Amino acid sequence: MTTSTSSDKPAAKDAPPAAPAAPSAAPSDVVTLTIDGVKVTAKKGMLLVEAAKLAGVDIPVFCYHDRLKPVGACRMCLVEIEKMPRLQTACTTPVAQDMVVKTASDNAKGGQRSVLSLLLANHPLDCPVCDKGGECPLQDNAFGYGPGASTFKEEKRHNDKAFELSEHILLDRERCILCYRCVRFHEEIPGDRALGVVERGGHGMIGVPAGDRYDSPFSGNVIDLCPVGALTSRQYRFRSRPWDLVSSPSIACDDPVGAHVDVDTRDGRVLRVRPRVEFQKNDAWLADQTRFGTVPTDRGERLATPLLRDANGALAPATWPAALARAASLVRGQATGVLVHPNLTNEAMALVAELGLGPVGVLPRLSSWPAKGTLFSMTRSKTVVVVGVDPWRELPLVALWIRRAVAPSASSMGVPPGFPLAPGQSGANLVVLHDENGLARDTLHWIKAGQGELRARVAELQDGLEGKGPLAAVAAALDDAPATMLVGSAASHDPELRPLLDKLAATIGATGEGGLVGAPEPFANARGAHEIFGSTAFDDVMGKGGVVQRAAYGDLERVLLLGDIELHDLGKARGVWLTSGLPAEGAQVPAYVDVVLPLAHAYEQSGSFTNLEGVAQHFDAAGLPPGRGDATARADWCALAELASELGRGVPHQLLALREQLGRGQPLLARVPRPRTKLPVISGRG
Amino acid sequence: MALDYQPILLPNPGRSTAVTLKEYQARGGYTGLKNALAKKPDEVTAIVKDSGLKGRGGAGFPTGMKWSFVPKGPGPKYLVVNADESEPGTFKDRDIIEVEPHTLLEGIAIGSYAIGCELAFVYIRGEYVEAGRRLQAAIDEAKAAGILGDKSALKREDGGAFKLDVIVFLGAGAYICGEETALIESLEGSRPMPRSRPPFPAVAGLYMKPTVVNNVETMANVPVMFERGVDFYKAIGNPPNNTGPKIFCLSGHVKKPGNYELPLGKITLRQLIEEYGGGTRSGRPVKGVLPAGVSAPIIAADKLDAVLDYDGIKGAGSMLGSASFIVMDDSVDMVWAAARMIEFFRHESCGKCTPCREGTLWLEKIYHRVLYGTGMQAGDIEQLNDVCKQIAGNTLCALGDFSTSPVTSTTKLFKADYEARLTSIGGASKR
Repeated sequence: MTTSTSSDKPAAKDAPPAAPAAPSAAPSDVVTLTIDGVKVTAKKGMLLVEAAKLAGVDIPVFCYHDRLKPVGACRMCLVEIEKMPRLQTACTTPVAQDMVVKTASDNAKGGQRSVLSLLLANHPLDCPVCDKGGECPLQDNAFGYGPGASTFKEEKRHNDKAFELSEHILLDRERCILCYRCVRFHEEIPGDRALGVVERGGHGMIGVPAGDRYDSPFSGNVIDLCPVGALTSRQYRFRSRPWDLVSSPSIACDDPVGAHVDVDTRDGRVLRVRPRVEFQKNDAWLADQTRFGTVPTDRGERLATPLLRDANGALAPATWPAALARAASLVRGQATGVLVHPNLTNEAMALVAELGLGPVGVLPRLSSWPAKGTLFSMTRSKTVVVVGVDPWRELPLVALWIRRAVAPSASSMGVPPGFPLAPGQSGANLVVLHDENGLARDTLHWIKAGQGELRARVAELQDGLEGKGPLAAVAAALDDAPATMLVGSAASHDPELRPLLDKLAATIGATGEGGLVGAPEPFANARGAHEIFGSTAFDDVMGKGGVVQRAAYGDLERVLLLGDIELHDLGKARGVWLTSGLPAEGAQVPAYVDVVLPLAHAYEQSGSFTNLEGVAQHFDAAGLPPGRGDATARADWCALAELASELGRGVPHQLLALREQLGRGQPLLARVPRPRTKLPVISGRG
Repeated sequence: MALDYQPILLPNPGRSTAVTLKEYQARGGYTGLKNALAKKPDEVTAIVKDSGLKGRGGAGFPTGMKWSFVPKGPGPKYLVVNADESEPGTFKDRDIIEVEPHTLLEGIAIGSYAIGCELAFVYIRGEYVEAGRRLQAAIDEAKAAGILGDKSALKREDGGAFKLDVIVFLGAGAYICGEETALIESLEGSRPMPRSRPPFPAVAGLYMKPTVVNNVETMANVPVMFERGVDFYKAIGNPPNNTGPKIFCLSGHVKKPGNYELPLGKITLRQLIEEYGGGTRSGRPVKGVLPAGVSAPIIAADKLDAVLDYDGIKGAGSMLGSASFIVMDDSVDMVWAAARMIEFFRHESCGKCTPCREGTLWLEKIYHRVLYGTGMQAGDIEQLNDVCKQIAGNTLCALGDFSTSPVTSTTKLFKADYEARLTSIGGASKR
């Protein structure tokens, strides 16, 4: 697809048409058309609204969204097409050879003005108190294409103002312009049809059937999709104006997919987290747990200074040098175990080795089956088997990829804008062996099986593949390779089940080519822990020989706890705890902890995470950590680097230098791409 | 009666019970199907094309042409019969289904054969419970007699067995279901809202498979072409543009409302009202006639000599549509009548697209203010027409355009009624 313009302005009628760049291959796949005097070559089947972007022409839209299927509902994108008797919606009209389109003719403008006039007739004028104000497509389009003044003299329609759709989402039914983006999102992407329309016509409104709840792990996405201020976030509501926000790219800090996010901060305070488009990971979506669950509490309310336990057993604030010295003196020369949380950065995990302490354990326990394959390759899977896990609740973004494999004609995951979905293309067969199944709608066979029954069922399934036993009919659905197989963490540890699962994966063609196979974990950096700690990453720290048990039995004198680890008891061992998120006042600290070192929230530090595919991704700090001056919470790797220095093992205290040094011994860190220098952008629609 | 015409679609005027299979076959029923099955499907379509039959549901699209759009080749194709009949003042399909269900079924069978469909649907409006019951009974009869179903005794031209099942589906009562893509949505179990075209139903309709949607009366027109020959059919009416029989639904202020089956283009609107309808009930002069329920512009009394066919009504500034004539005598206040029609459109707007949803709401608010509030204000007529201009041509389906015709036609033809309200502050309806 190429664009060529004869001038900056739309060409005049008599201007010579610019020669289009010759399409290189398969000329039957492309068409050439004229939009506002600009010649454009576009792929066949592409929608006019997308082709216009190639021509540098902006067509106003509300219901159209490049991740959703077109409906032509709002009529905002009306344009004039030569030889067509009526105005046509650019969002539903595919390009055609020699089509001549006028988006700014009197006729087209009249249609656009009419639609805006009608949309605004009943839309409340509460922009000054509306969250969307400043990043509102309705404001923008009204300004750019609207009639200027309203001729509507009647009383506006009244409806619910802050209707509680769910604990996260509030709906203003007066502001809603019924573009159905939210309804279509739930229909197409997760496929849970969580929202619908109630009533009809001018009284129609977004909602759920009476007695039902708006319950979806993806609900927050409708806030981004809403082109007006109708769907708002309870968490962010009335917190800021968009022009006061600074938006910085980051990586989701709780999610194994490595979702790309934009972290919006005001005066260094993280106020909201939104998805950033990354077609091969999170596409344009986020799970609610990331969107709402990873926004830290206000900086002023979090612990910024280290705490030391004094002789009376009470915790008192201390300076960083004093606290580091105390921590170093506690662990130096003592049998010290280390517990690592899998949300820590690659750098912090790699530094654990530099401390010269051991044994190391990861808490919570990780699965013993790191995933093979990529998320995007799941689009090629013809079979999906899920064993002992409910991706819908535990790995929501992975569930979206499963949905994409099952319903390729509905979900646009991984499909670049402007490319039509293949209607009628058949999807993968989904078979689930678990007692919970949020993907039930898309499941061909759901065998309800608790953890204890999995062995028997998987064995039956294997028999079924040979045409025997009670699950033969189910197994018949697993015929097509390639396949994806997702396994629960507990199932991966079952020594009798695991060989059965390995065999099943091999039989159905779940090899990591054309699908994902393994047991990913709902943490930002479980994969990093796997690569850095090897098999110790999935040892049972609570079990025999594990760090916790050895501490409880008195084998270990000290334990270094890294990250937000919740543990009630460590026997007689004493602990040093590096953690984020403790409140400034009245922090609940377990009695075994003698030193607390406050860490910054992940969005307040730089570092890198490795996603479930093994892709290491760098991120920069978006917000400022709690505290001021020297009394500031530290990045996890920074606090550990300082502790290492204190223990006499000098390492750089600067991220890139540290990464380079650690990368010599740890191949994962050498894989982290160098950060691109990019200035943060002001948030808003741009 | 001025016209010597033997009705074909409703040959038993006045009858209220369903014609049984036996009775139907006794008068030659299902021979048309046998004749059609002796031809190739393409020949059947060509004959229907040649007949000049236009869709009787309202849009008047050539039926044979519609059938020919269905792609050849394997895979399921569907015929859906639109029996939603939701246009006010329209009640012809109900008579066909309740009294002549086999005529409809024979038409469906011929159409299904022509397009290669083995599963046809009849979408009947929810209120037509009796019609649905009778059609189902007729289907059962035809299946038992080896005409329809898996075990049909009939053979196709290529020697294969003729297979067709017909499913009766009762809607839930929405005007929009008369729009073919909304009907398809409803049939699929979704909320009835029109789909954006392309793709057209002939390419991707019901369950995204090639689908033909035809009106009941259209299908009932088909058997006679094959029973008595297409030349017999082509001689009916006013060819080439206005061929065939048509049922005119007459209602409103007339002495004898009802269905009158007549050839197209043979009588005038005045004749229909006076000779068939017995004139107005009150004896007062006619003020206006709605020719297609509420969906087409009103025809004023000065155009009553318009000929009753597609071209004639078009010449009178309106549309034949479903040919349901609602007659209003001069006691009618056209502001009130327009308001009533707008209330209907506001209530029935599906709400999918902005112009129809917001526009009908706006129009209703203006009318309600005029009728029940502060009365007519200077500029209101212009405002009404301005809103109509914002709706017309900008909507997803044709119903948005329809909703403007009561306003634009009454403000143009009966401006006096509007102006009479200018002074009557707080004036209530004169009704």
